[in-house]
Amino acid sequence: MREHVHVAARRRDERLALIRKITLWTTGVAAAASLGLGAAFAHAIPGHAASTASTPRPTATPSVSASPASASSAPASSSSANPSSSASKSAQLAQPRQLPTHTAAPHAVTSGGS
Amino acid sequence: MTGAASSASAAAGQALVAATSGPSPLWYATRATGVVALVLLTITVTLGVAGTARFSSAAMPRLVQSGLHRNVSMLSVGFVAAHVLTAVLDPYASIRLTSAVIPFRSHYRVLWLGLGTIAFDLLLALVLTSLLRNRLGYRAWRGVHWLAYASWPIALWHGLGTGTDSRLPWLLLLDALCVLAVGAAVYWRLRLVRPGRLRVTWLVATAAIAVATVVFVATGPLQPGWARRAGTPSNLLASASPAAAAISPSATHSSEPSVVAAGGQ
Repeated sequence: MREHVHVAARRRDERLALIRKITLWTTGVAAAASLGLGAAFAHAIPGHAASTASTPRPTATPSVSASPASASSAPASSSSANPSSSASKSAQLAQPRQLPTHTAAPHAVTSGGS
Repeated sequence: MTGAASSASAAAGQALVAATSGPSPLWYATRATGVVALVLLTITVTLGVAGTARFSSAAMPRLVQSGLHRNVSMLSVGFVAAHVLTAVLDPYASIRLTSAVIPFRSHYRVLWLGLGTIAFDLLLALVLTSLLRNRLGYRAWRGVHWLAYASWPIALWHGLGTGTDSRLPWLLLLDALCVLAVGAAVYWRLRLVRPGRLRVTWLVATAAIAVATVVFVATGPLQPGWARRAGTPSNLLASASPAAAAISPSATHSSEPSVVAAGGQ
């Protein structure tokens, strides 16, 4: 009788250990996935890895104004032979429309909800 | 000379502003934790359904299933809480903390964000009643626990409707796998129910939810202009659309132009 109790207790302990092991693995994988996804999202934005604080390109973009449409509507007429890349670069430079405030931080690239 | 100097100073000013203002890391964290939370919820629901079906195997005894179901559900609550917290702290959409518990109060994508709030509330109810199960009694606990069958699809629709990344192919695949996993688990569970009206009703409801999800994705997030139709505030659309037009033609229909350029929504 005692042997059955010991066997059952040992089996239960093994299963509880299995639960703990799988839970820890799941937690680790979930945390790593979150970090990896966050990093992937951050670097998926064109030009994000290349800091926007890099040398500003001489463009025909008008001065910073409160009007986002006017700031970005003029495509870059820079020396870049690739119109899409120059447009994207000018868009990155043109996107900040106003200095960040406490209430709303303007983003060079818009961020959104989940 | 004056024009060159002014344009140079303007470009310098823009670069300075760009360097100090950019996508908030909280935005990336919100998206990442949202995806992980959905996967964890899917695992939780699948394990829960397997438990109700009294599934047991040598590799996965029922004790292990129930223990994992409980632990993974707590883990998913943690990631959902992180998802909510980062969304609230992210200054872009100005989502208030009250919007996290009171549905349809936010001005940002009211319906889809509200669904997320509802799913979060249901999840909280599930967890709290499970922790107080001994005090509540089995019937009350089980009645609330049935809400899990509602919270999961609501969370899925929240992600599809609000999500920045809904159009990413890998995320669509992940969503499809989640739907298949839960759908298969529910279908397998229903096979154990005695044939009759109840079984037919549940089968039809399960199939309807899956079909409705596919139709919604095809006619909603995958279509141009979804950001506007989803209820993104006009000021956010206005700030996004010129940059979107500069990057990609399709980005004019999204409030996240750079993500569109990278393959997102």
